[in-house]
Amino acid sequence: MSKLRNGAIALVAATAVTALAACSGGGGAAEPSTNPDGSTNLNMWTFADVHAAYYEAMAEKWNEANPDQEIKLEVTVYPYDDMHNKLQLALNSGEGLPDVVDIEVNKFANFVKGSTPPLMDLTEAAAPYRDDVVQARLDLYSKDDHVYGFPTHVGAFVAFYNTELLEGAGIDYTTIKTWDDFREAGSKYHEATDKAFGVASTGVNFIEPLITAQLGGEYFDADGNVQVNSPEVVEAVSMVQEMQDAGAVSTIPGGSPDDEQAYGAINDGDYAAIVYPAWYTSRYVDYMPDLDGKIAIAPAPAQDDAVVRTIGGGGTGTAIPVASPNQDLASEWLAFAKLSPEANVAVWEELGFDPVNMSVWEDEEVTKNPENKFNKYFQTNLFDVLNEVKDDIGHLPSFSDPNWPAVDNTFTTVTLNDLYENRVPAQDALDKAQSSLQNELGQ
Amino acid sequence: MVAQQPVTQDGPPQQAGPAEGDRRPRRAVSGDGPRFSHTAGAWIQTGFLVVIAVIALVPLVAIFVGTFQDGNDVIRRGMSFDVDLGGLSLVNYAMLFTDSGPYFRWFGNSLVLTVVQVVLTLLVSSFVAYGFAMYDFRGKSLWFVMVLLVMTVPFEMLMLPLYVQVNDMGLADTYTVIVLPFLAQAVTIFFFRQYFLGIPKDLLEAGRVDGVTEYGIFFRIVLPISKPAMAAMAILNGMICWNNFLWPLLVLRSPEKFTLPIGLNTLLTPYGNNYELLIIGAFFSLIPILVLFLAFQRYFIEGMTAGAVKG
Repeated sequence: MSKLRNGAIALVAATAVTALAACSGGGGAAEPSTNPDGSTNLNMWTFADVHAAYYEAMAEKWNEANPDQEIKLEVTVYPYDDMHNKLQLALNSGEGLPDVVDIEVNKFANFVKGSTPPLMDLTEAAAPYRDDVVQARLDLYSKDDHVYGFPTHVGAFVAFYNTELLEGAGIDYTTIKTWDDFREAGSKYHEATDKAFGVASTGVNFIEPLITAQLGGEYFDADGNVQVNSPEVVEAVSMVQEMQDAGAVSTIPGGSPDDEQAYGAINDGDYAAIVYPAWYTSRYVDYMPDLDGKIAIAPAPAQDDAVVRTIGGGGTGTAIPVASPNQDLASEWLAFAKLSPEANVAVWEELGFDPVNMSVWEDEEVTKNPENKFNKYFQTNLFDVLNEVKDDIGHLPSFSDPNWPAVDNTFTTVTLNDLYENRVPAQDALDKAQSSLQNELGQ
Repeated sequence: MVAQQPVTQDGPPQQAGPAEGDRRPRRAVSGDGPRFSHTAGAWIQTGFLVVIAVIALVPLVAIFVGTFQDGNDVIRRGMSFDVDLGGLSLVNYAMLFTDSGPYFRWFGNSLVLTVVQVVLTLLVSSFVAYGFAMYDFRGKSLWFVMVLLVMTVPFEMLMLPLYVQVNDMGLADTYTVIVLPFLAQAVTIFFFRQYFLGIPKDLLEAGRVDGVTEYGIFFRIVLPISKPAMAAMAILNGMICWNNFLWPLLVLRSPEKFTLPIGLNTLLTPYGNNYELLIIGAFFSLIPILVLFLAFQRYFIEGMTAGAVKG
């Protein structure tokens, strides 16, 4: 029995020692990040392979231009949703943080809550490029006039028209300027072909915020209280419902144009007009090969008295946690990698996004390059459209509200379905959303 | 007399025994009522199980067929059995074995981690359980209640302190930290304890009389007769380890150390999803669990029920 007792005591002791060792742990001192060759290690997290390849290319360019400030970038691609959860945990604990991190726009506001956000103020780093960069996109990742993230693209809403189908129905897309024009054209097309014209999305909340911004509305009041049943939002949603009644917009398989099922439907010619952010160009090129040469890009519809013609939709803000021991160098590199003209050329040529640095928009060697796959695919040039609305690209501050993710979630899971699938009147559906959000947010 | 005749015709009373004996097999053979209900019951039971099996197998078959199709097409059409046989190809298989990037690295990482973790978990947990089942020591009940209490704490509650702890210990981004915190599994300990309680202590005493050490008794007497329990726990822990996602995601930082669930999830991005690799990759990820189950299935039911009824 003594052996037995000793064994039991040893087991307990071992457990206790392990537990104690675990509790006492070393301090969380920042690991040295400078290598013997003078280069600095920068860890980066992202959620898309294409981003990783882009940043690695930008690191190379940086090292060529700044041999005295070389960086060794290590990019880790995590699963999309879970990367944000991991980041939240790391920021909460202050441990295991990267030097640079991509944050999806809908999640960004979560990370700049409170008076001392855990992300570095990048205002100074942005300064050299500020005049050329679309202000609305910096505003998206700003709080109290401090920039906390750099944008990847403008994502300006534009309209993509399938000219072959429209011509078949006797519609000239260049005559569509306002939402009324859009509704009339859609109605005419629907009557002529019995097919859908535009899209009423139930899985993405895009057109409604666009129209709301054009009407000068917001989803939150000045005090940050949710007001999704404000007159402008009700009007915006009613406009889409009226378009649906007129046959100008219809729901789409997959819930939004940015879904594999929807790509198939659009590619098959089931939908003729898509109003979506400019980055949708890459979806056409990658997923809708049959429409090559048939799609024209035009400015998104807007009423004559619109407060702004268009806004940006979607996006990724890249940020630097304040806990990063390399934040000064990281911020310089990040400004170069996301805001500089050379970086923005790559954003267009490699990723197919509308770049935030407007100096690129004027560079015809880049924008009119006949070899560019996007220029080859589309009938009209994206940059001609962007230059047309250049001074009128607005920002919907609601997108930057810390509670926007909750609003977006309610709309894409309940409200938009109520509106376009169940045909609940706009005011009723939005009142219900308002009440549900007030409960959820404790307002 | 009249009354006796039928009796005589049917058979004398003294023949009742053999007659009954005759009747018994007759009832079994020609008794339509009982046989019908028995057969119908069996059919209903079989039919029900077939339906359940089909429901369980449909997704597996669908994913298997999907490995021969264009990934985006599969997603676009949803789960459909309207398969165009001419459109099937081995392109995805060729891609998997020639151009799947780090897929097999993830696969290998998961495999090694699963094997190591299952072996160590079985060892450590069975040790602990053996102590609870076979020895008496002060505070035994209290310790055992504590083990049971651990079962009630969800991992999400332990996540943050554990994350801080492993970072402080400098263990982040190591395989050790994926395995170490979960070696003493409360559920496994509980299961083993119940199983061990069913083993007669006389066996242990016999071993001691023969001069076998305490460790010898465990390894040479108890373990061999605990194969069903080991097999059952190997399958359950194997599945948990193989599918483990959250904890490895939190502590791993180097892409080359990623496990299969993390790696496969990185194929889903806001810019489009690599369904080709995802579908065939998910299909291949079934294989280790399938092998594990097939290898241990004959012990599985036995182990599960033994653990359930004893103690």
